[in-house]
Amino acid sequence: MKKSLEKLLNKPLPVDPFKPQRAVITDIEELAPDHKKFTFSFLDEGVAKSWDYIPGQFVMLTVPKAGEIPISICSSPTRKGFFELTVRKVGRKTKVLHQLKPGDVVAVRGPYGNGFPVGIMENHNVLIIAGGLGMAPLRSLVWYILDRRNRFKEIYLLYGTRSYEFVLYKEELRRLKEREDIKCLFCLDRVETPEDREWADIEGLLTELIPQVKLKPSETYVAVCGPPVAYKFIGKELLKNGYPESQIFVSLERKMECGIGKCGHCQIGYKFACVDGPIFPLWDTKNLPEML
Amino acid sequence: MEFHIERAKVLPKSNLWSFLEGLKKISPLIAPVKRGNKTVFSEVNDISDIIINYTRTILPPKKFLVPYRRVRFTYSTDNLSFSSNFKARDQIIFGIHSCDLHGISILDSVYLKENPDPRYLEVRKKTVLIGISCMPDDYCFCLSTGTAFPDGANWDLFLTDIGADYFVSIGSPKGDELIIELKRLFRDIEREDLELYKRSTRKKKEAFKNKKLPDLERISQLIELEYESPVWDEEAKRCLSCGTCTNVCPTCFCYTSIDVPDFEGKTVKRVEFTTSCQYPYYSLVAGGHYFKPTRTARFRHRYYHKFVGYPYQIEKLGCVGCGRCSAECPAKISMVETLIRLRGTDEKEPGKAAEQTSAGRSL
Amino acid sequence: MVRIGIMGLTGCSGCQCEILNCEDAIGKLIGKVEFAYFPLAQDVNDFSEFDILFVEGSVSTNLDREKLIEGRKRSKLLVAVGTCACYGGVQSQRNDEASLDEMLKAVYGDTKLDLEVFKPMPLSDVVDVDYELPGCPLDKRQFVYTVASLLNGVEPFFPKIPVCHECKLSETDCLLLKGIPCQGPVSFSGCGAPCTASGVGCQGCRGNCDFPNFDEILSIYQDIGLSFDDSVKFLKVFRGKTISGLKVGSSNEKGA
Repeated sequence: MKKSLEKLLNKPLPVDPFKPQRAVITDIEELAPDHKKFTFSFLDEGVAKSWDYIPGQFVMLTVPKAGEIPISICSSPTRKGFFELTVRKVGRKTKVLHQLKPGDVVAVRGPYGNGFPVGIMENHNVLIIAGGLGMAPLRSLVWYILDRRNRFKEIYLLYGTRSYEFVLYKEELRRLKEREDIKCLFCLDRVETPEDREWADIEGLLTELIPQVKLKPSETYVAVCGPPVAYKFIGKELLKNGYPESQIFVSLERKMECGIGKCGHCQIGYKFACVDGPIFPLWDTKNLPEML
Repeated sequence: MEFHIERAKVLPKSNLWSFLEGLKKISPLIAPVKRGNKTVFSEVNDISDIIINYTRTILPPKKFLVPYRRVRFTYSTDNLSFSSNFKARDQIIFGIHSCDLHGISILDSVYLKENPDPRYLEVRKKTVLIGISCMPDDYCFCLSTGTAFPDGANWDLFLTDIGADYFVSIGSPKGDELIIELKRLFRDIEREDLELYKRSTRKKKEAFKNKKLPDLERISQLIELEYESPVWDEEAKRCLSCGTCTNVCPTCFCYTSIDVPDFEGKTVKRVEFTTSCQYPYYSLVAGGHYFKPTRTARFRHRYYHKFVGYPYQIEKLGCVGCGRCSAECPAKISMVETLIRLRGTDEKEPGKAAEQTSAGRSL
Repeated sequence: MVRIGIMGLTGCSGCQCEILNCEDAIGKLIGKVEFAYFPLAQDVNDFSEFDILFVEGSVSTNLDREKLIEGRKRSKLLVAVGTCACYGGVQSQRNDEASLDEMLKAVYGDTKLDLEVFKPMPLSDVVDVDYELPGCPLDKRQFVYTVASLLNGVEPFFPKIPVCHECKLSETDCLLLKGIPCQGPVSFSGCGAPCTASGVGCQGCRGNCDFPNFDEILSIYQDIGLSFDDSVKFLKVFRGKTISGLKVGSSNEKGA
């Protein structure tokens, strides 16, 4: 104890983890009502080159004049030189972000959080379950796996949204569906329009798609991200279908100010979503109060 | 043979004021002073304002390490260059009680262990901490939290009252330098001084004999298992969510950050301010969802974080038993009482005990 | 140039004076924005259109109402300044205790008024209000912060933290613990807690904090010697509309 305290105080001053790096918006794509995908590259070449991350990690994005927001990265680290964030217009800061144009400069620090355990997922099947905006961090995982396809066994992507209108990355997912090396199953809460019909494999919830997955549960890792209310039901259905709870990982969001375990806002039970998460094994969701 | 200890010296009480005067000449001196009926830590101009025997200050000395409102950066909107003109100054904080020194060592772990905050480190490096021994009042429960006596290596000097003198323990090279600087005021330790010093430990322990103390054995597990206990609801009913308990806590560190632009929109200040988990907005995310929606959830969270969260994050309890949260609570909610109720007693059924407490209150 | 209007309805004009007291800020603003309408401070005024219109006072007469509705139509943003505009103000503290006829009779006797009057109400009862800056008077720093934010196209951020926050952090001894009635724990901070610092209990002039625990504060008031009725009246002084319908004994437990 004495030793560890001495060590803490005798450190040299570290690089300021609160200081962000400048990045320019190179592209903006409107994905769905109030949902935009922003592409960024760092202005500093050294930073751009050395910057790396893991699917499931997030950044703290400074929206000039408005403040910092935590956003998960939706591009894959296998594609270099840029990164992408999908942001829903929902609060005072994202409103300002949605007004920005290509060429505008923002500031970014990170990546933060633990990310999906991609290393231990290798040589296994991966089942990816996304609900709504939860597709964003999982898109990063999908492309990470597809770009290193030979390291993984079978891959499933289940994706559910309210209606076709709210489907993110429409064209991209359409092309994925045609591929042989990933099986995609899509569901919509309501199937009403012809577009809905063309898109959806079923009308209903993600839980109804899970039994259609033909994977050996014991050799499968599951990654889930979606609205918090869905986790309970998805978790239950996964366990019912034999997936071991140590192999199911969920991504959670909380209010955050710092991203590095200093501001306290993101506490879930005894863990910090920013440093101990945002990816948690399902086991945690049973033991950490207020998780779901 | 000469009796000789390098890690300690003796300061005769008659030299205390010269010592303080000496300290003030070296650096700005912060010490407990009177405000109304209470004591507060404040920078002193006149050392005769310093209160030596006090029980607790309203706010812990934390405010001189992490100000409650601070500008983290200023950035220009033209080129988004972030700058800070923050510069830590040398300071000596005198008269810190053992519980608060433990509180600072907890903050050290929070700020410096993972993702160290350079600003906190800079302040800490430039701050000299001088502790002083104390006797407990009815709110103190530092004996339960294991913080009644200073240990660790985060302080520089510690003065223990041994009657006619102070036994001065030297905790760091910085502390030793001060002693050397003011050498003429100190004398070497005699065998008798050491005996008196050891007796002072027993004396403080004895002072707790008739006090209500919570049993903190396996407290993390207890709070996890009692997560659904009705005690939380009953206590939270009285809670005003005013945040006093966290604002006066020596170990609480939560803050909120906002960007404040100027009229022209040319420069923006990033301001951080201390906040509390007891405020509803604390867990509110854009879109309107509260992750801690009820008063009970927020009330329980404080205990949960102190006794389950800190042990997981930094391997220490987050409570140092200073008693501030109970002493300052406008609704007179007592942490000790809540912990005792959670643990239950052998004498009465826990349900009965609960009834009696609430009945007692409405009288 | 951004056009700003500052107008007053039924109130004491204290908030408008307080805005005038923001000398540094106004000095910086002149030349960057146009104070198109500010009758309290200037002779030449133009009520045609605004980017931001600040409105002080409660709506108590048909003149107030018409002016407010007109102002709303002509402004992109409308900000209620002061407790009267936000909650109805002190003039509305007895709204639920007497009928309008009784009130008129008590004040004016049999004199006939040549305008239509009604119980004082907050702006939000008549028009959509974009932001509310309560306080009696409003806080200068908050006004400056709000103007700065809005000029930059950013919504101002006001978490409804209780007054105890600022009071405790300025190391003021708790007045409730000394037996002095204080509304700090149930009132919206932002004022810097000057009243408690000078030994006067918080009067709640800025209205409710988030999910105030009225049950407990009423029980504390009674513990320190106030009658139940006096306790409720004390709470009602500034809260206007936001406290009417207060049910004592309801748990108030749910925070969301």
